[in-house]
Amino acid sequence: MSEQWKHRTAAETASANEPIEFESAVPKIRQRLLKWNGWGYKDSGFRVNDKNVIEFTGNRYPIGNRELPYFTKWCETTFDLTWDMKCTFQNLPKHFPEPILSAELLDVIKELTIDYSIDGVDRLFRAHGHTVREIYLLKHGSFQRIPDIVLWPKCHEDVVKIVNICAHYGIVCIPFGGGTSVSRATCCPPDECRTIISLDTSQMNRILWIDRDNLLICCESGIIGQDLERLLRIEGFTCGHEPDSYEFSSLGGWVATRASGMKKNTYGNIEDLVVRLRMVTGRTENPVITLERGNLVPRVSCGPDFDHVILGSEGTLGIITEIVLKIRPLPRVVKYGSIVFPHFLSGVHALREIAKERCQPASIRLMDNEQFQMGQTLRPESGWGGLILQGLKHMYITRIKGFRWDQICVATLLMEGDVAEDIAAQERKIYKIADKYCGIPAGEANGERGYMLTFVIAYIRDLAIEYNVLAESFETSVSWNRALSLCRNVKSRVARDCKARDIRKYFISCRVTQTYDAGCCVYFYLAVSYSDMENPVETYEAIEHAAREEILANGGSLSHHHGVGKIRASFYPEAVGEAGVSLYRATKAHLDPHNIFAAGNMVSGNKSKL
Amino acid sequence: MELNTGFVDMLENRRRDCDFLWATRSMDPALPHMLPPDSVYDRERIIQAVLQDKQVKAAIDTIAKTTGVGVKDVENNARAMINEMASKADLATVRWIGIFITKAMKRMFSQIYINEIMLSNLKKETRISQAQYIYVPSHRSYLDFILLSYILFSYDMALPNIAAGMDFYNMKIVGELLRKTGAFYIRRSFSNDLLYKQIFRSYVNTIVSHSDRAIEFFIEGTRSRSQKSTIPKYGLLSIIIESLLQGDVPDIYFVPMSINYERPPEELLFVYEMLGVPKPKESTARLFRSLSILQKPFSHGRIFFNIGEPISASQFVDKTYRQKKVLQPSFKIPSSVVENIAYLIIESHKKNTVLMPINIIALLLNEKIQTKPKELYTLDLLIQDYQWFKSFVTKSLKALIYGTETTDNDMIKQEILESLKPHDELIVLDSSNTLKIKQRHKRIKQLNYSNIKGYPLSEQTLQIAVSAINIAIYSNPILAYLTEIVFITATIEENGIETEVALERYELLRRLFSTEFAMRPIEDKTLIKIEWEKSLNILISQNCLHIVNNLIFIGNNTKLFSILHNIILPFIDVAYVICILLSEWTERMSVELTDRTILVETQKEVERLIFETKDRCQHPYCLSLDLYNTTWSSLLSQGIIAYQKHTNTYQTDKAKLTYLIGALLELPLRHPTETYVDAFPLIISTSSMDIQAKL
Repeated sequence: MSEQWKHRTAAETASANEPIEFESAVPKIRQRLLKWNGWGYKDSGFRVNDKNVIEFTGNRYPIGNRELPYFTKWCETTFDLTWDMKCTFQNLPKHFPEPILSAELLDVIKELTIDYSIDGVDRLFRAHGHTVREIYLLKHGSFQRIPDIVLWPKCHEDVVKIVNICAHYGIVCIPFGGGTSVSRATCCPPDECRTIISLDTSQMNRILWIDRDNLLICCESGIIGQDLERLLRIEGFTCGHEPDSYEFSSLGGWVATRASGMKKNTYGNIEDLVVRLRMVTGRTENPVITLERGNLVPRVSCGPDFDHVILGSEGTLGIITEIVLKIRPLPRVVKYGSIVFPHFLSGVHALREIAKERCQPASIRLMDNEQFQMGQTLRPESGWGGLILQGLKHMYITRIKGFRWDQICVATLLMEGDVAEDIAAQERKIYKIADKYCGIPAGEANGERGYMLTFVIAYIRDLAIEYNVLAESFETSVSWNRALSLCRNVKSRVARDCKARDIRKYFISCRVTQTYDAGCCVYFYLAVSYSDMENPVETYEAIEHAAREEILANGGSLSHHHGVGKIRASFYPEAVGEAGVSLYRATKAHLDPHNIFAAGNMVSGNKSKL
Repeated sequence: MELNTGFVDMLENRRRDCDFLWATRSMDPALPHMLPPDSVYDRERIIQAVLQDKQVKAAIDTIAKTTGVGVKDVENNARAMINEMASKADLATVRWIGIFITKAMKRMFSQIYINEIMLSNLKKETRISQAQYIYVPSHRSYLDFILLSYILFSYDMALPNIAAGMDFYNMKIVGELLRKTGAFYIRRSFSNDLLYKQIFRSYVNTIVSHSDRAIEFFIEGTRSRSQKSTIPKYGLLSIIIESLLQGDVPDIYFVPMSINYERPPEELLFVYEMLGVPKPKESTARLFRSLSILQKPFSHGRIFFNIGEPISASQFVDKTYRQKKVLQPSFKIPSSVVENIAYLIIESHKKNTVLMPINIIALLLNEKIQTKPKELYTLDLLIQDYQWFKSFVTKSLKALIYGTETTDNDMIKQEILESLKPHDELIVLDSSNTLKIKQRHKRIKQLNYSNIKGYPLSEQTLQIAVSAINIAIYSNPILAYLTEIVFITATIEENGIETEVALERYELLRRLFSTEFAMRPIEDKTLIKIEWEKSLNILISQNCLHIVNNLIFIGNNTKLFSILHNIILPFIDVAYVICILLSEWTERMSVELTDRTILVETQKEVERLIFETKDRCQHPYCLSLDLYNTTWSSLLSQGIIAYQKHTNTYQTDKAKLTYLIGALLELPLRHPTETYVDAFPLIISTSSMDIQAKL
């Protein structure tokens, strides 16, 4: 099936406002394309070749099929690695826990004529997200509890049917979208003895209509980021929501976690993009169980906005089925840029002023020195020409500008616009501000590379675990005046904690990934070397927990876009206050009286009223 | 506990090599505050940051508005203040001063022992993270800060920002020299000066966050003349903690340091100051005159410099407080948190005090004068007593004393003689190897009476008091370990006392003397009981006390009991006398009751009691003004005296006072049968008249 052909049909059906069905990039049986025990595509990933040099396999990404000698060296020195330390992972299990599933229930499900599976691998694949603990367990252990059956509804009505059955038979339903959660939101509470259905939304992924006049699109919640963007692009539009996981994560997941995309400066975060939502609640006794607004308008003043009950509900209040989103015409010009700053402090000050002047491009990010250094190593060996050029740049920055190589940091820019002049004007304005803080423009190539690497970084963790290094990212949002101290204090806390735990080799780094009028989003990467440690996962989690405490003490938020899940649930009460928790509980009790959506995120131990 | 590991005589290496080469050696001083280069401010940038500070600017505006002075003028004033305050760091100056200091140290002291393990641990720890370090030494001498700087320089560590009083600033040349070695200057009282207050706060916050050097200050505020811990001051401490609350630094480590001098250079000055004879003003000329102490080698014996475990402030300034600060920028850390940290530091000072033989000798000698003045105190007797008492303090009290454990008489004798050497102006062995005290008081020719803080004491009084108090300041360091125990000895009756009553009396004494002995104020009775029981058990294990059926009796070890009891006597006596004076004030006194007149009248009364009576206030230590001050503030905090702001006078609460007097009268005190005045001549060395007292 050629893309050309698909394009035509898509256009035709779209103009007729018929739902568009298409083949997703990720198949229904996910393990055919994706790793069962790690991040991303099976054919892509870091590996150490026979020459003990790291390379990236496959050709999906720009560094694919290239040796990475600098990165190899960086790993060796940062974590004191030798490449014979490689540890082996367990194979895909052959035996799985017996599903808790009565014959009666199975018959009822069969009658629904909704696709289902009780295959162990299908169930295992939907038992987890991508936190350190979950990935470590896939490779070295097992889950206490996995879903008993996987269901693939194809539309809103299918979901209503499933929820009704759940209520009737006392069953738990945990929605599963792209499976990229980093909050343990998808994993099953181990003490749940009811049948657990994993409701996989991936087959409920149609584009129901496109409204070119009002720049809206209506999608089912299972559509994944790359499909949505690809299809919109063909139509000359973009949604512009690009979280780092957008290759795999689903629209429903974005809404359920209050996701944020790289280019939110232009397009907004998910709550700015959403115009209308439908969520199937658990109030099965009522004639209407879907929570949805009765209009399709840009804004309303109509009492509290219940869309905001759905946004961030993390699968605990209902199943999000359909979403109307804003779209934009594709920008005609896209340009990358980068700025080198002498140190993190000056970089943050510059970003602050850029935000103040409100001249942020679609995306602006600031890497700290550690991340800059690491990023520099993620490139193939350069030829002579490249080497000399690299050397000259290095010399210009350190000798002529007097920057210190171990202090400098880099901001990357992604600018979008319709006219080149507009972009040029914006660029000038940004560089002028940067200049005030000693920032030097460092070229388009550096900026573009930065964004290219975004999707590759997620693969590093699987390599790390192979060599006894646990790695994870965590994020927060913080006001401008506390951003610098937060970054420094969290790094310092991690350093002291690692020292106290006798961890010799670790890596902590941060970057500012979003800017707002009142503050910014800070993203941390933490990697800890753990050979000979008894409880590596618990130790890692304790360090991250302490880091989160430090974040909160410094005025940072519990999460900017990853969500609460189970991993941060212990902090939820202080984040929303006692009144907030009881409001959440009351909402939960009302929308889900049978505790069907018992994923146990945010507040655990919600008692069923049955 | 006897220590023999970790401590190293740092002078040993200095005596071996050339001072000049040593001081000019190539070094890269370790900077404890590991800041990224962009966050390190030099003096100019610190001054700029202070002048740009929002609150400083607001203060400037307020003052300009309220006084009508131009903003420019107030700004210039502010600039002058910060210039006066801010420190410099100049390694060259440190180096060449180092040459003189090392020469002087080698001359004055036989050994300077430093806990090298703790120091190198500290050095290593500073490499881990970006926390700021605050050195908080005990304050026993002007030498303290020079000593610490000398140690840091010797171990290739950067000199800290040192909080110094204006008295040094006013010294010609020296003031600026000290600034270059890190001193920053603080005016004595500035609570009414809004601008100065803001500049000071901003300056301290800026160096906490942006100086790569540590900060040093004396939490006791002033040198402890009596050589025991004094209550902490909170001002600078709370400003420092503010930086952590604000999140400007990841953590702040307070490093308590206990310094014990075998003989502090200001020894005799301290004695006179305690009696109320004022200290001379610091001047450069006086500094040079005081260089005469260099005349005699090793005249000041040894110093023990012990470093306690660093105290991490983030444990106490926890997430809850920091989050409150985020939501409410005007939030201040509760004073209880600051107090808690302050007392942790003081407690660390106490338990890390390394005692020296002279401390025990002084205590034994003091006991001898009071209980058996007629018996000659021979060296042999002293050796026995010394060995016995040392074993008590090291084993039962876990006090730190340097040296290896020995029962060998000769070794102990050496230990004693060694410790007496620097004190040959105070304690001597006569031809028959008997311990004698030398007359330390020399008639003061031009005594300026207007400068006297207390009552003009008679020459006769001074002749006894100066030597007696001089001995006392050497026994005082032991109180770091003894305070709770000596309280108990003042509560036990001969024929037994109910435990409840004993505890009640203990609570009373603890409340009354917590200022004098720098004890953490505790309200919680169960905590006091735990503290009390701990000390009670030590006394029981020593057979000083025994318990039968809920009654506490005095045990067989009356010798130890008597020593402990006699330590606390002067303190209780003074408190009692002050209370009596207060109760009879209006009838007896013609002057208004103020914090100054009470000093004069008490001292006058004590002098009378010493000579005219035989029971209360026999010990010359009762003449110490320090005691009156701490008792006064204790009575104030208990509400027994209250300050009347509108009339600027003090009122006593009669009922409370009567109750306290009654409680004090009930204490089973056992005053020595011999009076100090009678006993003193028996032990004074007769050939003492020619000794030059250096004042």
